[in-house]
Amino acid sequence: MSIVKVDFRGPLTRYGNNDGSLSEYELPADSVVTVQDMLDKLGVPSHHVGLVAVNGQKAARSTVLKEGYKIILFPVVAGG
Amino acid sequence: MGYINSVLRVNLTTGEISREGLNRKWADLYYGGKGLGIKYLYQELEPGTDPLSDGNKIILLTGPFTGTIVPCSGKLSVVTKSPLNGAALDCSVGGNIAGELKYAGYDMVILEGKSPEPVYLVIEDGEASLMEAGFLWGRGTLDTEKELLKLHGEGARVLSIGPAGENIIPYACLTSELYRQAGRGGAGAVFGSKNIKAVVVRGTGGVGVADMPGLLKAAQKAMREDLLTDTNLWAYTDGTPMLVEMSQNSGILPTRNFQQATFEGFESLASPSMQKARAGKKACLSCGLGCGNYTVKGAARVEGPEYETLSIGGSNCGIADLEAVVKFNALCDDLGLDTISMGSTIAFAMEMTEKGIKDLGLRFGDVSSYLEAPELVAFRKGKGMELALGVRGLSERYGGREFAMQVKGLEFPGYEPRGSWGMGLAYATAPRGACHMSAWPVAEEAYGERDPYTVEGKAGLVADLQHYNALKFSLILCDFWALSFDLMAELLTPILGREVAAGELELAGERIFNLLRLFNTREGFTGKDDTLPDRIFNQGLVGGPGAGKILPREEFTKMLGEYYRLRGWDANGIPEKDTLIRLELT
Amino acid sequence: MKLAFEAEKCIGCRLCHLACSGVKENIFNPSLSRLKVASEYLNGGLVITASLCSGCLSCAEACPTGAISGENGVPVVDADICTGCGECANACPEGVIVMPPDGRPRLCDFCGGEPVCVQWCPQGALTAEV
Repeated sequence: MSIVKVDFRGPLTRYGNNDGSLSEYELPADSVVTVQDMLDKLGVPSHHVGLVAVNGQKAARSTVLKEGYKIILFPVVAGG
Repeated sequence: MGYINSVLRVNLTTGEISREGLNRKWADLYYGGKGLGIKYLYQELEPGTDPLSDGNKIILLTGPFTGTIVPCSGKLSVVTKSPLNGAALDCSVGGNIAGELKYAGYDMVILEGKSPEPVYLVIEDGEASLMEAGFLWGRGTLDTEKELLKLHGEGARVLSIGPAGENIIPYACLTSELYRQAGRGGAGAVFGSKNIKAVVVRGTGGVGVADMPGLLKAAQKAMREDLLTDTNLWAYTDGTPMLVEMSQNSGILPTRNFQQATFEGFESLASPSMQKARAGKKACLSCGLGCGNYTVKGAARVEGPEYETLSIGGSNCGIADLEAVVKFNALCDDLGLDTISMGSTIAFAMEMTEKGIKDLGLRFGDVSSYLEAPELVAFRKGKGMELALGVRGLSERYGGREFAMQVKGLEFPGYEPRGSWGMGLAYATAPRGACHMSAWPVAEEAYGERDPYTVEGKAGLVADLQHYNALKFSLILCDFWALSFDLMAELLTPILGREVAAGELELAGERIFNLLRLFNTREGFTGKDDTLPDRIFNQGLVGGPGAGKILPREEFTKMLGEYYRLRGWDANGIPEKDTLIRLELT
Repeated sequence: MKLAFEAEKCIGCRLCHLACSGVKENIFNPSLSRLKVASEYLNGGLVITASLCSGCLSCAEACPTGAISGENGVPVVDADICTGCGECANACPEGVIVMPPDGRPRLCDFCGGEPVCVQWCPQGALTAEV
């Protein structure tokens, strides 16, 4: 079984498990799964997702996920 | 409606206090806050005025939304000529004092001259008076505020300086409600130079609007459907500490005086660590988001630290200890120092030591010398005498200009331009110097999907963001509400009782930004000042996602040239006549 | 009807004050609002407090001219009988009756069952219990 770990930040935590933090997502076998595919599967509205980090680095929606990857989803931000 | 139509003018030299009408023509063109403040300053200040002389003025302003139910409208704007660099300075402070000023019967307060003795100003329901402040001199802002509330009642609101302002440290700030600051550019030093310790405000009046039912309806809808949504709620759930981890992942987290843009100790400063130390949430007047995090970590407590302090006072000094950063933040707040300029100055001194240029006893990662610095600076003791010069001053005295991270004398905030090229342009062209409040393209570049390592399209992006922020901070709405010009117009219409169009607001944003440019041009700034430290142009980032990246000088020059053309400025960065006519600035 | 307050949810924005005065007084003036919510740093900590009308009708009991009547715990003032003496404000155990210079006491009437303070509370700290 191929598993990736997904962390949610800010208001996106509601899409995670109970306390909103760490969730696990099982990659379907025999198919290429991108960040965008995973967002769709988890039901996270794409326009509310800003930065996506994969293994501690900014990634694209098209980044392909592999077993053991750590993903953090950040909300869209403004201000500073 | 929306305005009180009353300006309080205080001549600190003579003690004369007068009330005058608000210049309605200017209010129509500049609205309030930042824009109206710079208009008054531009008209009233003699060119070439020494910012620390009695000729300088400091203006406290509200805007048409202040004191009303429009969400996120609680901030007070402060406008003056900066003692750090002689440029136009505007900054803002949250809390409740802006609303209180309007309830006390004033849209704005102009402080001019210089008091022969330490004083503080009390404004109570239209009446204003100067009081002797000798007993407060030398005291921190926490103590000062407590003492003034004891004297003037718990409902009063206080804006004050600490010892840093009194001792005219060029990056001293103004503090309100203990933990909120008009931080950048040295507004606190202007207070100190004028011998004014504090302003106390108390009001029981109200703010009327042209169409109350219309406003209540529009504002309720805006709050529910636009503000309290997934676009803005990060400010409530996390607040700015969330940006630590985002900057780390996108390679823009200032580390060891901008030598690196990722920090191995970032986790101890990141939002999950901050949340564990959270002891409460606090908002400004009328804000539904409440970004303020009251933090208690060990023996240290503060409302904060915000991202700017966590990055510039944390990773940029090589400090991975949250309790130390909370302490640093609390010290700076109480002493009345801008945490960004203080942190940047410490980081620069740390690198001076590392490079063998000058040893002021500061080392990257060394907590005890880092925590000693703010007090030494605020009281100008020992090495504090030197650190009080700020980054540019230190580099002029000892060298290291290529890594002196400042623009126009204002120290860098918490975003690495080599990992966000548009942010480099924003720093270079912001009227007050390296500033994150003029435009914040990092949201789209580093944190968003736009390529951060290109100059393509960045000139237009930065110019648009600068107009947007200039207007937003003139109406005075908080940065953290990402609302559209259309929505701003919808909210302003029932307040003023006339149909406001989004285009009118956008144009005003451009007008305000250009007026700031005119102010600086009159003070002798030219296109040559729109630049970045050499490090950004020729030293590759060490490690992280942007390893090896620079912002190539020729790319920067190309972007700056495009920016001038888009703005209708000449090759020296001076607005062309046609531009001024179009913006009604002639 | 009763108002309930959860301090741990309150961020101290005072939108409740602004809504109350805006709707009831046609002007934004927190000092005329008929509830008091405060979030302040006191004694080294963040202290959040609220004073709300509890519907106890001490005001009606205290009124020397009988200008205040109470129906279902909601006080109503008869402006023709009220002399503006302020006894109701003195008697209010919550201290939420405002007596402005115009001499007309401002009493919380729960906005006819849909309190605007609740409607405006952004974080659900204020709720209405029927």
